[in-house]
Amino acid sequence: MSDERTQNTPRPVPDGVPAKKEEIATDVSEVARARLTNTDKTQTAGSVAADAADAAKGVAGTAADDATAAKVEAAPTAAPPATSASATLTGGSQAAPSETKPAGTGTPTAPSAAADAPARPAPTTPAAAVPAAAGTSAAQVTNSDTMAKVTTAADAAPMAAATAEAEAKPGAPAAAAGAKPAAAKPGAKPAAPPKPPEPDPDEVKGLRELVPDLTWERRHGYLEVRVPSGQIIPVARAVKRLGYDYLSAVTAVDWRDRVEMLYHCYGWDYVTTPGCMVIRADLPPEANPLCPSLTTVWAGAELQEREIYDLFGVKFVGHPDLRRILLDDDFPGHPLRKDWTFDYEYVLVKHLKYGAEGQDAPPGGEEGFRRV
Amino acid sequence: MSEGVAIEILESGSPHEMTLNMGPQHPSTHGVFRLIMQLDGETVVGVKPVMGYLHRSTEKLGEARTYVQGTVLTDRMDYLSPMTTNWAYALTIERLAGLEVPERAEYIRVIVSELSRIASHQVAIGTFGADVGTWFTPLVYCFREREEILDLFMLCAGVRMNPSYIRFGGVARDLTDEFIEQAKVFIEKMPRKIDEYETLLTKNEIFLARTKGIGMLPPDMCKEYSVTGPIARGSGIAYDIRRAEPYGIYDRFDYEVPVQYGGDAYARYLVRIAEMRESVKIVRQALRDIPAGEIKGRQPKVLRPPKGEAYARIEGPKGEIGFYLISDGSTSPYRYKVRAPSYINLTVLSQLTIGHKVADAVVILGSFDIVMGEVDR
Repeated sequence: MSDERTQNTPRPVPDGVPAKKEEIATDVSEVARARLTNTDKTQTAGSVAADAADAAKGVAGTAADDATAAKVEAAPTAAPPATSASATLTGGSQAAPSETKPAGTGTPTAPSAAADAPARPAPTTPAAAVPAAAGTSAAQVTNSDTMAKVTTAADAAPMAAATAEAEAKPGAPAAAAGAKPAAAKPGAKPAAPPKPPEPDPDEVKGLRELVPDLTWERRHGYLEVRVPSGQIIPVARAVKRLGYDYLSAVTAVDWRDRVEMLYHCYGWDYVTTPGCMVIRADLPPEANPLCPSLTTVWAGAELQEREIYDLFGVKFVGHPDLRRILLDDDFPGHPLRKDWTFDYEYVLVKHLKYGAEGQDAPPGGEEGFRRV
Repeated sequence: MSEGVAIEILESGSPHEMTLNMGPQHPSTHGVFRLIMQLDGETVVGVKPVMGYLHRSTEKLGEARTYVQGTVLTDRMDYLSPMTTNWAYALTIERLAGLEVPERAEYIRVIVSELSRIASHQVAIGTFGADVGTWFTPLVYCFREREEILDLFMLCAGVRMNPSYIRFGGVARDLTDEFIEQAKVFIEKMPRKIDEYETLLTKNEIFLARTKGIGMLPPDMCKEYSVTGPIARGSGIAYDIRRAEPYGIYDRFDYEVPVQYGGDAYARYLVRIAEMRESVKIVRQALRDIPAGEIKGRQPKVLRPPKGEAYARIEGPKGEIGFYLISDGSTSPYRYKVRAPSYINLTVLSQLTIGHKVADAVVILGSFDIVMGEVDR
């Protein structure tokens, strides 16, 4: 239970850049970093341009056929000039991954983004969308990758609502100001007519009222919705009411720049609800990110969430009995995290050196695992 | 393995209550599994399951090994029914990489998986009988036929246990004529053997007294707790993934999904007996229809699935076996997640046990048919 003694070092929250890219990304702006992060997932390391401005410039021209032209024009109207540059970058990087990702099965990225809110038929009004686009422009750079992926994925279409995930990328306007203005060419987009987004499936319509900034896609026939992590419980209740009342699996994935939670929900009545709905939510890449526990919705989540706490360090708020389950109580760290390293001291030395007593009173201190 | 904390939670301070450890080394736990029970007299008032004694970090190992090496890990999970876990893993990779499976391989998969299901239920029923006090006669009877199934596995896979036989894109080796003949002989005599088990157990007075009304699991609770497999079908939930989300070629066979409405340990036993009969029917049809042809589809020598993720699930003998794999384009998965039915079914165990006697806790655990290799992984 004692997380003070874990070995997972907390990682920087806002950047979310893998370690191997940091030497490239340190001197460029936030926008460029996010651009590189996206590229990192799709290209080999060598093909990533060190100069982010060049990359952004290169892809800015390719955005003409995309639906983002409307947003690119909308952003300067409501935003200071510094963010208009990043808005252009948004459009650029939205088009770029769709070229580099042929299969559309790539890794999903950060939650739900604003991108082409004006082009979307609405629960969200354009008036609400434009300030959001202006304020969180840097966040859109990462998030627009989600959309580009969705356009290529199976039969799904661009969607995404306007969101203000401001805490996802704090300091975004300042970083955007640092971006090279050469990349900002708002007038350079003749803009093909925006593709009409695929209408929401019936299941998503109800959820959309609950979470306006919901994104969805289809993968292998399963409907996947991505929600903010704070909204997991209301979304899960709504999904359960829709008929997907069987929580099959609770999964966590460490993507290095975030920890993703997945809930696979099927229907017990497989005749009326034959498919599967996957709820996805992103957590910050901390050592012990917080996540609402679904044990109040499905009691069957209890052991699965304990296992995820044990192996990933995700702390489930509201879990009745959050303890380690598979590993020892004094196990150092959470081993399925990608930055976990093997502790030879723990495995090889402790039991020999301290014997049975050492297991009761570990060298780290009295407080700890055995509280009886 | 948080036993210290568990004991602390269970301590209530009442002078009439005591804490009893059952396991980890206890014959009724079918492995190394520990129940910390809070007792009031002989009545259970609180249960904390403690597991992890057999943890082998399968998910971590799976991320460090290639896709074909990951098959070997699946054998060690449900070691009583390795073929079904093999199949779940193979199915996930096929969904991930878009591999084709030839017709003959699909039939072979059905045959060995259903044989595997029979073997698993034989162990479940035999040891369950031993748990409730019928001692070793049913166990020996069940293991007698299970040996023949393992002999069949030796013919097709080369080993009795841990076969790693079902690989992605097909199966490891072709079935020989000897296998087909032996399997046909076995399948023809198997229904009468199941009758023998039933003679020993179904109307046995001791067995009835120990299992009827024990561990009642209402269907609503079953759904809440994500309980699957014969336990759910013993509670009246007709949920079988072979029907709900058909995989392989199960839609070609004529079989039924047995459901009992008792919800107690006896109903779970009846479901397992009936499932063995249905499995016999499926194997008989598959042996009749199996075509000639390839056993392995076209696939690269070193598998590098495209970037993506896939979740696939099958109906194992203990419930829904699911695998969730993420590929980052390399030769080993980025994430190797197992949805182990034994583990998730255990979520409801403490709820069921409270209010029963200590001896009934053994019966409830036996009726759950857990395999610790799968629980701890």
